Amino acid sequence: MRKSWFHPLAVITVVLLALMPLAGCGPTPTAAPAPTEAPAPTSPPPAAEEPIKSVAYPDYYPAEYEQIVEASKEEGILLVYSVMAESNWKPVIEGFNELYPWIEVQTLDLGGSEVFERYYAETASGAQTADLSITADPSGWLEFVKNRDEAVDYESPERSKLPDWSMPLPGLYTVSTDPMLILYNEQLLPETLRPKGLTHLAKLATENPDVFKGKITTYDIIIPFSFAINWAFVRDRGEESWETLEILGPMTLPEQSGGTQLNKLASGEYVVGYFVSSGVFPKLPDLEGIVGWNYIDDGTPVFLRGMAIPKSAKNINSAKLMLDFILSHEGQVAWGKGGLTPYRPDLTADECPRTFQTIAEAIGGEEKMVLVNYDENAAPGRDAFVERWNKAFNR
Amino acid sequence: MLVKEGTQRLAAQNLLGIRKEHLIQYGVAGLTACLVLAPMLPVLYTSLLDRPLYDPGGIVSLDNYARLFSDPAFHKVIGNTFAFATLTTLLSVVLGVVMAVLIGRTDLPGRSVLGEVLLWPIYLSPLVVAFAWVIMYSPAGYVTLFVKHRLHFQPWNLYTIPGMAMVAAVALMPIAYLYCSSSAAVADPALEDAARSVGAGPLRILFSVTLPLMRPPILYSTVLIFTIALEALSIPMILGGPVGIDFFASFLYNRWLGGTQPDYGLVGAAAVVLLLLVTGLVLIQNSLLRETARFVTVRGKATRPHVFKLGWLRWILFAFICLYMLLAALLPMAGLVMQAFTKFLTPLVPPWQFLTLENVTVVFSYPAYVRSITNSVLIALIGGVLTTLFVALIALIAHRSEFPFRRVLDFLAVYPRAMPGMIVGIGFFWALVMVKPLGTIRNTIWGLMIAFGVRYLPTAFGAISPMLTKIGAELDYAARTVGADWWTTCREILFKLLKPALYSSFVLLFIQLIKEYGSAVFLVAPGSEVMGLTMLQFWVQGETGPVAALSLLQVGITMVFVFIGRRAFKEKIYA
Repeated sequence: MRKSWFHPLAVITVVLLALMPLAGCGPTPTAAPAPTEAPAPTSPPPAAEEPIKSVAYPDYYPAEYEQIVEASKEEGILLVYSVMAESNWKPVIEGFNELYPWIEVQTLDLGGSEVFERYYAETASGAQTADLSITADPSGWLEFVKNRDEAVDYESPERSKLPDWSMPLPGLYTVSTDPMLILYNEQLLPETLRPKGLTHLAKLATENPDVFKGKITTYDIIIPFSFAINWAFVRDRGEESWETLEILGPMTLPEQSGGTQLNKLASGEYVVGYFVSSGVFPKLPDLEGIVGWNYIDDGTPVFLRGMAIPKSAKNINSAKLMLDFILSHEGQVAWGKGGLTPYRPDLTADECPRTFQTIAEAIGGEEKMVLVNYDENAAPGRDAFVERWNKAFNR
Repeated sequence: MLVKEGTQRLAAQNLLGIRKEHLIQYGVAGLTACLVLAPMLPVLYTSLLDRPLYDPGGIVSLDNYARLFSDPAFHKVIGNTFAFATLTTLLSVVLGVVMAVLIGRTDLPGRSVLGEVLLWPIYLSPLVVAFAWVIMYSPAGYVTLFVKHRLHFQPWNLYTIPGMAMVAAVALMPIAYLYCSSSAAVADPALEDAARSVGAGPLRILFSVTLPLMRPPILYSTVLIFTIALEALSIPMILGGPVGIDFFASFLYNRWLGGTQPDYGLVGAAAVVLLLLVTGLVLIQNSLLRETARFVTVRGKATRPHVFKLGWLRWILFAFICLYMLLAALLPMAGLVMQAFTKFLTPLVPPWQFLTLENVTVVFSYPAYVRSITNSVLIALIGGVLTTLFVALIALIAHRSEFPFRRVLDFLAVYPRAMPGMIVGIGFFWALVMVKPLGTIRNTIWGLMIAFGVRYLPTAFGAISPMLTKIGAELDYAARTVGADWWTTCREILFKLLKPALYSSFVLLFIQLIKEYGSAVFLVAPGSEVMGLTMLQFWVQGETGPVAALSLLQVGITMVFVFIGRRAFKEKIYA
């Protein structure tokens, strides 16, 4: 009688509890491959004065780099907070793991400001947090690096290969420079109604309200990088760009993601989208003949995806390896494959059809770009700007 | 045997100086109090702080409330949410009552089958219904375009409050139907006969006798649905975003996760307002339902209730119900299947051009998706079992012990009904931030399991405690007379008799836990993703194909589980 009370549920519980570690959940996620599984150095036994180089990272890296590589073997899972989807990450992680197979990379696709906020909350509570943060939120980065001093001031060996504007603050690097585009539905918009720029779109929409009313989309200003783009556009193109936005506003339904914008452009719910992120590029080949695109002739915003190692990072050596890989020639090519726009000046058109340089050529020079950079005036001007934008967009 | 054991144990207890039953009772009650209060106190505290909890030097004031109530966006949110919740409740309750009466009391053809089919949407999360409706009824949806093409205008707009209420009503109608149908089926014929004897026609009887007798389930489901509608997140996120219609839940979500600077104080204040509102509603409902004796219809003298004859209306109403199921559930679900197996779903191109199995492979190969599946299943299974066991203990203490605070415990166990899921989530987020030793379960599925469990305490309690009241107290006394102590009585007698209720509580919890995402919003971290939230977030990102595949999988898992559950436990799973 003793042993049999209420057995089925008890048995289920016990079995499930026993299964938990197998399923790879619980307090500690599945451990990274044990250090012992790391590939033994394939190079011949080192000569006395030559540093051991177990991994094929670029030759111009300093000799001390090997220490970072070695130290990373003792670390846990590399946790990255970013605004990129897994599909964007895939080629990068694959390339990274070819070099450093013992580092398991886990990426979390977060909303713009969540990359920082989650970090602040977790640091305060002493919980484990990001080892590497990547997001496109200039004001957030200024707060993070300058005001809160949360970024590790890491000197990447790739520095000499990168343009100065990509490293605006100590420890803050740039992952990619992504252009914002105009997308349109080719089946619903005849050639003559496809806009070349914002001013053009405003003109077309005023002339053909029945085609465009409620059928234009853009990013909602609530998204931090949408604010940054709109801010930079108005800053660079002057007060009269407000007039354009105020014409477009009442006809536009703002969305929160590029993926949704693309889906609804494909379904015909929208006929045109402006300031659509080039993150949609990998999906465009499938939609040939349905969705077309072009740069924006009165100013193609190009935003910088910032990256830094936060001070509370636990797996700091793994994070350094990832940061350097992202900036390396190979890493930049991988981002290109993942749908982002790399900017390293030594990329060739074969490796990467779309880079910062090729865009500049395509739109007729860098001065045609609106560089969405780290503007100190943006944060103080934000509330008034957002209010005016919301008013223009009937929000 | 029991006698001997009893004496032995008694001796052991006296040695320790504490009786085991007190240990258990105070332990369970203390833990329940902690769990239920854990989410509320931090929410209240952050609502009074002028800065995030993690920044030192916070000053306590009512400033956040002042800001909240002077924020025009919040006024709009309140208006929208109430309009939506009222309309949703009205639609689902009216539909539910009509269906319950038609199925339970009339000679409608095929009503036993229809009765089952009408319950199907209960397996669908409102999230999935919203995904599916977008495909068919959004401005570029298949049905919309089909109708527009013929009528040359667009007769409806899904992206409005009535449109959203319709979507929600489809998902919530089964709740009203469920509660009302059992009551409709057992209506007291004596009362109707009395009406008939004074010359009342069928319609008069329906409105003067049958429906008034159904007031308790109608009222109960009204408050339940209204509460669920108040905290709807997926619908405003999926349908309201572009047109700028925000509800309470999406307001909280955007102020926390979407904005440039999360406004924790404002979110806290809004959460407290919502909490008070729902608590008020639940209290009103409780007081309205206090005198339920008036509604007793099952009496000692059993007679079969009369069946209302529908006459020629039978087939029209039959067609109406079939059409409803077709348009509300089947067609949209077919759209979801199409979405799951195409790269892009656009009415501009025939779907077979984009046919692909990629979405399915993505769901089973991307770690975030795979983890969300295993985590959800584990949470539903383990969380379901643990919550059931814990609630069984609560119910035993609340109903079958001399525990001095048993009334309080009883209240605590049902109180989470008044706690919207997102608020449970926010509360546990802060609780786990504040109480450092608990930080280790933050970001794990254990943290989620606890939050989900607390949220569904009342569900389990509702499944277990009625059964307990049906078990006569003489059984307890019999055990006690042979020397069993309280705990032995519970274990050896009550637990065993409760088994059917425990099983149905487990199945009910499983269905709820696998769908749950509201309380996960602020608690999910890499490694602890759950299906519902992953679906919402990836859908908002535009990953509609994989999300559709994942939705179908979620529905599939639930249905398989319910099927097995019914077989294995031979239990009707609906409370």
